[in-house]
Amino acid sequence: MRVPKRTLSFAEWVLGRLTSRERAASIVGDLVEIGATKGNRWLWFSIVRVVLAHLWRRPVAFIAAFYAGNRALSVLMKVSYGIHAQHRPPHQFAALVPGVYLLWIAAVYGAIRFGLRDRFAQFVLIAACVLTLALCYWWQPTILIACIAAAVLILGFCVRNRQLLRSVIALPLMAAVGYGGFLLTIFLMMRYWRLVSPVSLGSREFQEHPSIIWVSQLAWVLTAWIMTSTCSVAHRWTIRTPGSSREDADGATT
Amino acid sequence: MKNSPTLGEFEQMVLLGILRCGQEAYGVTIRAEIAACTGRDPAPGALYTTLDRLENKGIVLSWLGEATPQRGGRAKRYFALTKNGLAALVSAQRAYQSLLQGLGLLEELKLPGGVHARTQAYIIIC
Repeated sequence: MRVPKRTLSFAEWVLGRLTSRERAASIVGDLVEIGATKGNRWLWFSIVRVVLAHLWRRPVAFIAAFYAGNRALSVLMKVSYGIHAQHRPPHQFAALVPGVYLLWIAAVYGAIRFGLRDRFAQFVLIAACVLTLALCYWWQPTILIACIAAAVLILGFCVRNRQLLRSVIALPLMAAVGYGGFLLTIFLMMRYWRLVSPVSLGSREFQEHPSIIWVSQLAWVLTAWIMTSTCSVAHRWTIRTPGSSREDADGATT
Repeated sequence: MKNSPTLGEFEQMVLLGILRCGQEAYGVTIRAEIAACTGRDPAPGALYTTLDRLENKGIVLSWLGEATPQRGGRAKRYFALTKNGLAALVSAQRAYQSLLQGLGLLEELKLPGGVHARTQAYIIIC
């Protein structure tokens, strides 16, 4: 079997965008080695499959997280501040609304990107559920106390596991960075609104300047991107294992 | 909760494949070992993303080996389990063993001339 070197280098370059260069080179090397017996078509089909396997999680997770965050925000706003809202939360609770929005972005992103078996994804998902429940039913003491008790129990449980303990530390940091990004994008969005239309926005202004809608959408996408990127960094930190060496592996396998 | 990470079915297969290949565990041999033992050819995408994930979690580690002409001059990437990975695998396999204990499925299937009545009933129910 003869495959042009240039096309294999291209495949390696594509894979190198999704994983490290060394990993990409070794994967292509493996496929070339197997492809020698299975043929050219198998080789290219396998390269496409490897690329797709590396590729699908990130965009799917991002899109799902973006919509989940927006959905959580709209539900929270409706329940807490909508015209039919019976129990408007006090001002102290209002600050938590963007926090829950950001947490849901991280939770859905983590669940898809890293899988539900991942401890960090599990922790963020549970934290999002508990916080949402507390925010929606803040006026019911039983539920509020149950949420606080659940939070304390979860924290106590997390101390026993290294990855979970790191998740506990990473979560507020991640939320803080996400919150900062959220405020920054809102600030930029408002600046653009004022730049385009100094008067308060109405339907006429939206019709005259459709870019306002696009910029607003872009601001939400930017917020989601900041949050998901922070989530990836936080996850990488939580799973980092100190002292993994070749000797350690030799000791484990022999 | 145990400190070792939880492993999926395919992750366990990959880890066992690495152990079976010993010092020669790299993509091609791991894939061949899994195919030989299970009769299922693992999808290349699934194998490499699983290996990446396991390495990121500190369950396996890898190092670059020699480059050969039949690989287009590309280096092999060898894999081995870390102590943490071995503990996770043992823990997962112990859970399977506990569930199998008392069922006698493996012994019965080894018997010549068919399977035990209880196993037959089990297969019919399934």
